[in-house]
Amino acid sequence: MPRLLILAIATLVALDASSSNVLAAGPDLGAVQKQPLNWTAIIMFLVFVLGTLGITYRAAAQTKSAADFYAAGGGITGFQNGLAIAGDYMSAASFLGISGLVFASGFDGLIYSIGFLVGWPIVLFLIAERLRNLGKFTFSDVASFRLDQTQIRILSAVGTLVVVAFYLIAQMVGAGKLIELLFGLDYLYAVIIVGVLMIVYVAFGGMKATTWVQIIKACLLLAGATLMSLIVLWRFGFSPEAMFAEAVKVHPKGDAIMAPGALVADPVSAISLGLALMFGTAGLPHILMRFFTVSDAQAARKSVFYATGFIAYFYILTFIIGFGAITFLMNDPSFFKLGAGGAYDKVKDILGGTNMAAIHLASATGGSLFLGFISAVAFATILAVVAGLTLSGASAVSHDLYAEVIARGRASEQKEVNISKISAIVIGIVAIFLGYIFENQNVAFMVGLAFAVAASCNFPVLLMSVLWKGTTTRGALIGGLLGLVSAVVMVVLSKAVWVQTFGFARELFPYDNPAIFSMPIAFLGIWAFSKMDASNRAKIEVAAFDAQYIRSETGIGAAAAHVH
Amino acid sequence: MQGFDIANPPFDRLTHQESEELRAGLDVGYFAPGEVIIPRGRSSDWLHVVIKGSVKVRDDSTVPTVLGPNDSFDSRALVHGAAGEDFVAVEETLCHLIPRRIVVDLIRRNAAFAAFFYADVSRKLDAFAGQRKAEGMDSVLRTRVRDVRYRPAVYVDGGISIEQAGRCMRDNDVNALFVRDGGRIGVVTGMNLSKAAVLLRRPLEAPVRDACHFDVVSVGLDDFVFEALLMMTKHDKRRLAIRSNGDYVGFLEDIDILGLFAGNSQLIPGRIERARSIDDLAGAAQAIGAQVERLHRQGVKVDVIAEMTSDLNRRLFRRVFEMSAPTTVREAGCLLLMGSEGRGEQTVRTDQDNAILLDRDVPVSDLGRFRDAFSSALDGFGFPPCPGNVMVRNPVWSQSLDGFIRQLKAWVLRGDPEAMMNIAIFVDAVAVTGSADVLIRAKAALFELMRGETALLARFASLIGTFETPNLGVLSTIMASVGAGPDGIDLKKAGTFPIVHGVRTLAIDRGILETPTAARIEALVRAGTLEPAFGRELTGALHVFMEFRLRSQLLALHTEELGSEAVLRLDGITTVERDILRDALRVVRQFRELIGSRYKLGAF
Amino acid sequence: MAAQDYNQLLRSPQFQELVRQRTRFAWTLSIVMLVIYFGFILLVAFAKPLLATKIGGGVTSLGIILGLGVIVSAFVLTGIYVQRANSRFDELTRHLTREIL
Repeated sequence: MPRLLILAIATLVALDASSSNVLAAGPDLGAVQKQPLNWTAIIMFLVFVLGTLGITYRAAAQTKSAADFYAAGGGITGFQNGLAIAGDYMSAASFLGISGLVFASGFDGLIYSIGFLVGWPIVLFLIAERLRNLGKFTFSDVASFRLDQTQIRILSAVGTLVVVAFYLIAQMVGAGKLIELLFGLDYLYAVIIVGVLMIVYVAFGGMKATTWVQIIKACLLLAGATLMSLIVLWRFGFSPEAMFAEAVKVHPKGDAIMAPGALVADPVSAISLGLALMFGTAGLPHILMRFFTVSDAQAARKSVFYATGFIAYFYILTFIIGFGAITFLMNDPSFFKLGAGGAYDKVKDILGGTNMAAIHLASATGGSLFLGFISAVAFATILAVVAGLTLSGASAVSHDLYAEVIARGRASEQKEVNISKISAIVIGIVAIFLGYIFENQNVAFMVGLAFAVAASCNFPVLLMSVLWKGTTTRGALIGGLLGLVSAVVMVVLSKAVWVQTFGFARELFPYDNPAIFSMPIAFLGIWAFSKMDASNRAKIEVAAFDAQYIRSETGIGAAAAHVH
Repeated sequence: MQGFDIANPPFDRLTHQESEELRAGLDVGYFAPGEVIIPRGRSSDWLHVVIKGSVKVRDDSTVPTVLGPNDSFDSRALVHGAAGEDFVAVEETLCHLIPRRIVVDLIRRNAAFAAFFYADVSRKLDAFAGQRKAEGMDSVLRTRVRDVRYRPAVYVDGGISIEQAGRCMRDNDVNALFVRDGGRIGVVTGMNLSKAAVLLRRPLEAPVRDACHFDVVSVGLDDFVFEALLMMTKHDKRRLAIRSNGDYVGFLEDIDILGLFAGNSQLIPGRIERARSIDDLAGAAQAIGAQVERLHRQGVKVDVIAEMTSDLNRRLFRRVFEMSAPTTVREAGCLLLMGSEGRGEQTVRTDQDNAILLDRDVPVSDLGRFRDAFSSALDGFGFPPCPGNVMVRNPVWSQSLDGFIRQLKAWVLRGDPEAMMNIAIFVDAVAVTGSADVLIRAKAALFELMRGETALLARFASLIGTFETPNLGVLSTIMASVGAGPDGIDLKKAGTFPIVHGVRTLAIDRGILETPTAARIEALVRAGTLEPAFGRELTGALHVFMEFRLRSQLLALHTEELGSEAVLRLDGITTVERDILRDALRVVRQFRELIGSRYKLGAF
Repeated sequence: MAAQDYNQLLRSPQFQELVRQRTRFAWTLSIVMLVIYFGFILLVAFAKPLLATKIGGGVTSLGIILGLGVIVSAFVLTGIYVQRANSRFDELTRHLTREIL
């Protein structure tokens, strides 16, 4: 494998030398506005994508006794698991999206980075410990400890599917844009290719978001981002101040990029975004699992600590990358779609949109090889995240909806696997469609909406069922649905969807992010409808809280209450 | 007689001529409900083949087996002269009766029939499968007499009395003696003595020379077994003297040869039961190991080998327990075999996982004495100790039921790799002696503790993803041919472990008490968790891996290359075998996917 | 575990001590985090000019320094919690578990 890689790189270097000549002499594509294909980058891209995805193979260690089999599974350290969590969380959408936001409006990008990060301490302080003690790693399992599992599973499945859909949009747009840019394809075809690839991965085996895949991905992403940042900083003598100064000089908004700007125009939007980002993390369907991939609670806590470190470091890098993109790209017309007379808007006209700022920066700092590498890492990351999300969505349908609700636990496992595959295909097709219609959205913004939905449905139900004794099934179900529906409706009526995507003249909901309204609706709904619930079932559920409480605080006791 | 189904094994091994003879001698017997057809310990003059009705095999320790139409019984009563169990008609039952004479005759003439018959698992055993049929027979027939477990020679003087000769036979545990009488040497058998005393009414004081015969038919120590068989047939003898350098060194009986075919499965239990000391058992323990190889050479299917071996091992452990446990421990204790031994899937002996659960307190000194005696007995047999110390010697694995349930709680709470391993080992436990109820109570407690532990079950299940299951598809074949792919497959990691562990996880989840993987799969199919077709495929795949594993284990025993014994080298197998293996690996991948989706293992 | 066992455990001083200590600690840290973060967000919402203030005579603004500060504080708070939980709280839980089993 290493030999093969060296060979490939050598070939690429040779290609690079010749192709740059071709590029220089290349025909002017004029109206089409597409760059000639950069073969070096493409080959590099393919080599690395295949490399990262194929890397799941592990050298098999000698195992002689049963103990080796069991140790191999639990042998992940807190540090490694921290990397895996980071790998899971640092989706390419946040890499591409946040650096794109920084590129477009400077400081505002930082607001997103911070929001994505601060969810982690909250998850650790309030949720993780209890979940580990309860021995449950999905939202529906936790809530069905004492609540009626059929109803809870319906809610959780719907909530999960909506969150997955929003999250998928972000990843699809990121990957679609990347493929469009790199291969010179139409965006529609690019999105279809990404969607089909994702379906193939998930439905026909292969890619799993396993711990090791995530660790490798995290390392590659961190390495690539570090290298890019170092090159940027090196140019400014490792002085951020010099970099900022240059950026202020180059950017059309000038000094405004150093302060909060248009992105969070009004206080309500700012706070709303803050709420969504902070509390959404705990409601994401694929995150909670990672507290259980290590065998003891200490390692689980440590892994959150390391993950927070890696994620913080990564977001600082994206900030540097965003500013680097401003300084490296804005004065170079080759990265822009040129209008009449070579004029271009330094933000809007960047090829592929602002989401591609980091990709262009790779090309500007490290040439085609680096471009290929960063594209590949970003793409592989997206596929891994997408695969994980699709799996969550598919399992919500096959397990929560089909096996538990429709078949009432009498479905054979094969049937469930088949339903899960079909669901994955359907989710893939829906993702292609959504990815297509949301083409021009910033991906970090879309992730923010996914977080808003998670914070308005999954998070309140999770928190209330674990912390508030009075929570009943009816309260959780109605409150959760109210949160979910209000969040989705407000998003649809907001400017980003109603105006920019559907093309209506005026938005009906004035704010970008719904969390500040939908979260209280959910919490109030759960509280009010639980209070009003006078059924017998409700009494039993409230009575079962003690068992759940002890278990959630200490890990002692049964893993299920005798309610059902 | 019409109606006798000669397609029914083992009679399908008979030639046309032989089956005609069999039919000619057939009779039919009727048994009323509750009638004891063959009492335990008695011989039988007929081999019974059930036509209609059912027959219960009663053995006081285990759940009775029920025989139905086409089942035959009881070879042991027929050949050894003592049935191991009671055979009782459950309802009105009709049986074909095949006279002993005909069966014995067929056994002598038809080696395939004999092997089948003697293995006494004819219903399950599809012994001489495919190409290995000839090879299996051949290897037995080409064994040399010196390699057969023959009876040693005991010489007496022709002048001793018939009574003394009889005592001598009993003391030496032999059925025949060489008699020196002047310059000649004769042979006297137990049958000769009885005839002399009973039929000819000779006094017991009469010299033995009068009862013996001097036309000794013998076979050389280095002759082949088939030569001995030919000679037995030609002279119509059941017993041949063995000569070496002009001396007689022992007797070779037809039963010894049949033992070769049948792998001594009938003889070892006798040795175990007759054993008077731990040292006697050591020999039987060795014999169990030797039998595995022999059965495999004869082409007996691996699941049958495993079943027979585990049956023998359980008898062995039961005896060791009876001999080494003080009364208090024997009365309160339930001895458990666990791990692969508990699942009945161990063939070549690997490590031993055993434990004892006590349903009431016993004096500490008794327990200590038992731990030492039991462990040293196993050491004495040369059984490899369990590296994880999962043994009676370890107080964790020899304690009261209450204490053990507390231990289970602690494991479930801890959930670390060691705890999960212990849970996995325990859930495979079977009770070999004492009150099985204690074990069932412990397992019920475990199932209750695991109920709803979704995260723990998921982490438990995730271990099946620890190792890759390679794909032997076209691509990997091409890669391997240029040296870029795997040239060997670790059968345990790629095949056995994922199946066994995945099935075990589902069994815990569903509270299934059975321990053999195949039985658990059946139970899962019954519960609707697995579809019948897939259940069959999974069991088939497991047997494929066990078969290949046994093969390479035996190879490793010979080449003493232990440690790599689970690795199957792909260049050492035929194309057909490769296809079979590929298919089995496909099933494992499918199963892993199923477990992965069931327990949401995507992230692990 | 039966209902009276739960009641007994709920009333046990060790259990109450563990829960009290951990809950207080976790909520304190959560509130610190919330205050830091929403303090920052409120500044973004209501005090843009303040965040735009230049630091040290260059172009670097107070907002950027504060933003990085929030990131660092999240990391530090996590570290404090893990340190405390892995020593003090685990010890309390271990004591409790030993008592029960």
